[in-house]
Amino acid sequence: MPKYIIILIICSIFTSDLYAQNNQNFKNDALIAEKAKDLYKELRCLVCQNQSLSESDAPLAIDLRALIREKLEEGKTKKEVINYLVERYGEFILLKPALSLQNLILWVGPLIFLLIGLIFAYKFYAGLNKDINKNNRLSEKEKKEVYKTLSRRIK
Amino acid sequence: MNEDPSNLPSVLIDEEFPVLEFAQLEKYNLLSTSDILSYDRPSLVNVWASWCTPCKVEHVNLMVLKMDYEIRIYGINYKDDIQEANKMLVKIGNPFYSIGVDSTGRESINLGVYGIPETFILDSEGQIRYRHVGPILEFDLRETIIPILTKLEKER
Repeated sequence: MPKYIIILIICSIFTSDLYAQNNQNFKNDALIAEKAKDLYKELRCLVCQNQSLSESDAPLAIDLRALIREKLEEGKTKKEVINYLVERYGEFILLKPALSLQNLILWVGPLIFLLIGLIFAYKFYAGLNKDINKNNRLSEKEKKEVYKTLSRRIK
Repeated sequence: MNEDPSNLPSVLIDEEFPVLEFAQLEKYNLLSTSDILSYDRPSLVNVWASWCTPCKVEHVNLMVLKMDYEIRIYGINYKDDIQEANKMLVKIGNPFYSIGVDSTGRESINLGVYGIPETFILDSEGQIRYRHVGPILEFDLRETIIPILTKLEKER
């Protein structure tokens, strides 16, 4: 009987060992899959240009997804993979343009235009109020006319 | 800024043609980067496949470039069936000086290829000077390809 117990203990040691190994691989795979998914969303499909790689079924998108996955499995970082693709396809492949001096206008431009718009809107509405207050008052003569008309109606 | 947003500029403009590895297509000469770099006249690199209809449309103009203008054209056969590729060249003529087979499309990714046919114009030093995306129509031949080749020929 003690012999069986020893065998059982030995077996259980090995199984737990294998389990740990598998779990490690699984975690690594999941990590790569997650990184790959992030990259697919950040990168443009060059065939259907307003789609990301993750959305596109174009053959080139499928090839690029496989390439990205391979590079990550080789141990390349996300940044290295992005650089690899930018070197070949240019910054256009980035759906979100890089924040660089060259691209500053893309990032700051909308804010500037919003500000200009707000200034115009303020001037316009402020001016409108002034006009009403200053020039659109009735003169004494006009007032009398209005009263006359209104009282006639009431009778 | 580009006039046509679907027509992307190549990042390889003014760069030397990269070192790429291709397989051989049957009896045809194998394309090699060292061949490209050692040639001392302007040349073309054309990415094509037998399944690509616009490639067949431009084929006649590649033949014109080869026969009438004596331009050396290197062909990259992109993700194609080897037998079909060979059949197409036998049937409608071979404009290529040498051919490299890129069965996975990986080597073409190194060139930034995103939609075939694509044609690169190289100067006599083997630097990429222009990329044409889409078929070379008669109009393109007359308005862009020939003028650029002529200019590069004078530069050398």
